[in-house]
This record gives sequence, structure tokens and C-alpha cells, in this order.
Amino acid sequence: MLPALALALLAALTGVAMPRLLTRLPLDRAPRLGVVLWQATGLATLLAGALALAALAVPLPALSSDLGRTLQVCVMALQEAYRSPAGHAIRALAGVSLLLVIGRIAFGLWASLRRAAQLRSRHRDLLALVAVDVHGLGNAVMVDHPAPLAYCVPGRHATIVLTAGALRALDRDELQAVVAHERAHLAGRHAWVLSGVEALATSLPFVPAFTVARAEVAQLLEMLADDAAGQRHGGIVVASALLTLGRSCVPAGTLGASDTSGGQRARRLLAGAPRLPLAAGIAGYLAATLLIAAPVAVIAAPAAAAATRNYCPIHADRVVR
Amino acid sequence: MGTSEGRAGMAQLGELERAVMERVWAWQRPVSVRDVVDDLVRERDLAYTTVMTIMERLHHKGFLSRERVGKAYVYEAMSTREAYTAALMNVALATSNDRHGALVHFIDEMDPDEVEELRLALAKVRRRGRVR
Repeated sequence: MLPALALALLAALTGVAMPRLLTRLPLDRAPRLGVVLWQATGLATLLAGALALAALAVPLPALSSDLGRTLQVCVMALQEAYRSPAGHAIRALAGVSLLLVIGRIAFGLWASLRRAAQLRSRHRDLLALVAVDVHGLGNAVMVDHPAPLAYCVPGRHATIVLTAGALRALDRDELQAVVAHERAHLAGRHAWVLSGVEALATSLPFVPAFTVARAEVAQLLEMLADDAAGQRHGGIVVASALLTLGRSCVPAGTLGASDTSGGQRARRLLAGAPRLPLAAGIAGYLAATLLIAAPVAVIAAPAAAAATRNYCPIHADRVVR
Repeated sequence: MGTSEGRAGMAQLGELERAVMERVWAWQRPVSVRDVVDDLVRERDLAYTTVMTIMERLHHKGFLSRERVGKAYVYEAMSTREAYTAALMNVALATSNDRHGALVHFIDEMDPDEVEELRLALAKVRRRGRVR
């Protein structure tokens, strides 16, 4: 009973409280750590929730005799710890819920990846017809269109796309910076991270850890690519490129929005974002590890405790096997 | 980012498909495979079967319409190059705020006033850099 309760509480903490904490932290100082923390939070929530349901659902008396043999612990001690309080109905409900959650996430991930792959495939077909290679820029192509756009099509045959308008607007340094930024996205397989985050958010939209992660992780990945480009061409140049292309962006929607994601990135680059001290970085990665380890520890704790006991608890109303 | 030979193969395919589409666009009337082969043979050495395969593939992808005339097929472009370019850009713009990660934009959100404000900040930083 206790493991299930503890796991449910853990899931609530990581799923609801942790996102609030993360949005308050200056993760833009260490974008990679930020992405890791968001992913760890999501994974921990998923694990805790799934294990909570499993602890309620799985008929552990049947399991524990095997565990007992391997762990050489008292079977009764294990049963005592993992005894599910509920009757068959709740056990079945928990089991079904677990299967539904897993199924939904798996389907969500599959659907998200499939949709992205279809869009990219179609896009690449069109590019093959109308785009031309840009001399001296590797796998970058140009589309003859006046709107200044720059983007990449991730996947097996990844391509970086620049419009004629973009090539006209950007100066030589800015162009290099943009291409370096897109290359960083491709090299870091950021599209995969985005697909995973998106799949979780659409599958289980009532969990803040998944929905808030969407926008936050996307922004952090952009900052990561900005830093990669900035290391080679200078952060100021990347900021300049952002402004050059940002000028012709369609504003997101809210009137008078003065703190857009693009603006945040430019401001960060102009300020020359301070690095995170080593100690804080280590602490951060440690926290991410602990987040994921916590649900596993909670479910394994009773077994570990039983393993350390060297006597069998005997109840008067039980038959000793 | 894909092996170099994979990339070359893909580029080659795209290049051939583009060359064929250019001819079909230039003709501006339904053409047979023979028409395109005779046209292309002036600049490249392509087999009839190669061109036929490419045109079949373009038809399968929806870029060429196909009609049977006698024993052979005639093909026509479904849309102009400009229309395809526009369609491409529409998709690119539409996915700007779509977080599925199908395409990853360099930037997709900025406010005009913000841009002006940041331009001034950028200029200031540049001046500071020069003075130092």
C-alpha cells in the first residue's frame, strides 16, 4: 500500500510542482542542462505514475515467491510490504489504467513521428523540384521566394533551406551563423527530442510537466543551437541574424507581445549570457539523476528493507508456509 | 546527417527529377516519354527506361498527370514551378508554430517593436566592441 501511495505522491510532485520550479530557474544559462532536467522530470513523472498503478494492479503474492527465491528473503516479509489493500476491482482498474496510459503514449509517439516523417517527405519532394544547391554551404538549398525564411528539414536526408529573400537580407557572417545554427539542430538530433516532448504533451495533456515542457524545451534547444553557432561566429552575429530574419516574422498572435521567444534569444545573446558555475552544473545533473532514480527507489525500497531483516514477521491470523 | 553516398544518390535522383520536370514545364503541353528523352539527350546520356521510371515516379508523387494516348502515356505537369514554390513556402510558414518538429525554423516569433528596440541594443554592443 505504501509504495503505491508514495509513488502517487512522487508523480504529483514531479508532474505538477517540479515544472513550476523549473520555469523559475535561470536555465538559459545552461540550456543543455535545462533540457535534461525537463526530460528527467517528464520521465520521472511517467515512471512514478506507471509504477504507482503497477503497485496497485500487479498480484504480487504470485510474484513475490519468485523474487523471494532470488533475493533470499522471507516471502512473508515481502508480501507484508507489497500487500495491495484493494479488492480485485481496484486491482483490475489500476491494471487497465496502466495499459491505457502506456498504449496512449506509445500511440501518441508513433503518430507524432509518422506525421512529422510524412510532412518532411513531401517537403523534400517539393524541394527536389524547385530548390537549387547553394554554392559553398554544404547541404543547404535555396528556394526562389521573396519572404526571408531559414529552416531545416530533419531526417535521414536532412536539408537546410534558405529562401532567396533570406540570402538577400543576411550578410555573409549572418548567413554562416544561420547555417551553423541549423547544423547544430541536425547534429544534436533535436527534432527527436521535440517529437518525444510533443507526443507526451498530446497523449497526457493534463500533466503540467508534459505540457509546459513543450514550449520550454523548444526554446532551450534554440538557445543551445544559438550557442553552438555563437561559438564559431560570435553571439553578436547570431543576434544580428535573428533580428534580420525576425523583422519579417508574423507576430505570434497576442497584440503588443514584447517578450517573444525570438526576442528572448536575441537579448540573451546580446547580454553575453553568463555561464553556470561548475558546482551548480554538477548539482543540476545530479538532481536529474535523482529525479529518475526516485520512483525506482520507492518501488524497490520495501524489497531492500525486507532483505535486511533477518526474521520473518508472523501474524496470528496467517498460516506460516 | 546521412552518408555521403546516400546524399549523392538522393541529390542525383532529385537532379534527374528536376531536369525532367524542367522539360515538361518548358513544353507546356502533354508530352510522351520519347519527347522528353529526345529533348534531354542533347545535354545528357539517359536511357529511355530511366526517363520512363522517373516520369512514372513523378506521376506517383502527384507532380505529373498521366493519360493513355494509343499505346503510350502522355504526361503533363500538375502545377507550375511558381505554384509549387508558393505551396512549399505556405507549408513552411504554416509549420512555424507547429511544434511537431517536422521543420525546425531559425526563428518563428518576433514583434516589430521588439526588433527595433533590439536593433538599438545591438548597435550599442557593437560600438562598445569597437571602442574596446
